[in-house]
Amino acid sequence: MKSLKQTLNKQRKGGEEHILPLINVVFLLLIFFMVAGKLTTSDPFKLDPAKSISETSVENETAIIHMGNSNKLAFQNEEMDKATLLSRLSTYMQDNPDSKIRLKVDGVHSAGDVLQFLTSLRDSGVEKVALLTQLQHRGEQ
Amino acid sequence: MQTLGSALKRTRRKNPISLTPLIDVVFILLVFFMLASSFQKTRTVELQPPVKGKSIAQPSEQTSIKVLVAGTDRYEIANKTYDLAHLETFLKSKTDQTVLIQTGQDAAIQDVVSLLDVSARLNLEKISLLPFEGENP
Repeated sequence: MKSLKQTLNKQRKGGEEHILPLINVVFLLLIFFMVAGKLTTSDPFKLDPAKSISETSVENETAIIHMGNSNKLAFQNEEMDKATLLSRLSTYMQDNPDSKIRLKVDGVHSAGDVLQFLTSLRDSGVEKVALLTQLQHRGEQ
Repeated sequence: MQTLGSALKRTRRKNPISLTPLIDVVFILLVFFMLASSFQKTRTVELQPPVKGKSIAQPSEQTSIKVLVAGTDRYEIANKTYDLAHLETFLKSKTDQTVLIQTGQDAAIQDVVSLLDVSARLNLEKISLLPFEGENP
């Protein structure tokens, strides 16, 4: 009859073979996250964009403005006040004329405030704005 | 005399490459990708920022409809209130007209986006945002 010590020794020898299925699964998960996920910089503050049926995707190269609650503003992921933002934006628009600016606004944000902000963007030379939205599936309210 | 091949084989059998460091690295990579990657798909709605003042020529009342976004699911056309479904029915017969979007004090940007969705569904091409005019638009 085998002693407990012998059995344990045997198990220890074959130990690495037992974790092979685990490694396979971990590798698969790693590949899934590498391929399916998209590495993005996180927003400077929490935002939940409005829902829309629009399926136009976004080009990530253009400048981005975040507009949060209590009129918190950020340009290129850097939080700043409105005057600084508009002057930075004017410089950006001089270097990249005709570029489309991405605007990420919380869905519950007052439309009046956003419209006022859009008007001041127009004064800084912005002609086209892409408002970021979340895809709303049909039938979903 | 031993050949190099057999010597190598013996060494390999005696000391197989340990998998533990590999698993450590793979786990760290997995955790990194799980935390750093995002699955939220962002889409866009294109807007043309409104021009302040009355420098642009406003279309006449026969060729345009002014929609006031009054609040959540409340849209007003000529002082008559519609919800989104009724507004869609109303706009269905007016696809050749320009839609001017005016926002009220209580409206959220989601309501404006919903209106833009309706106009996209109805293939309304002429839409423009009017500048916000304060408390009493």
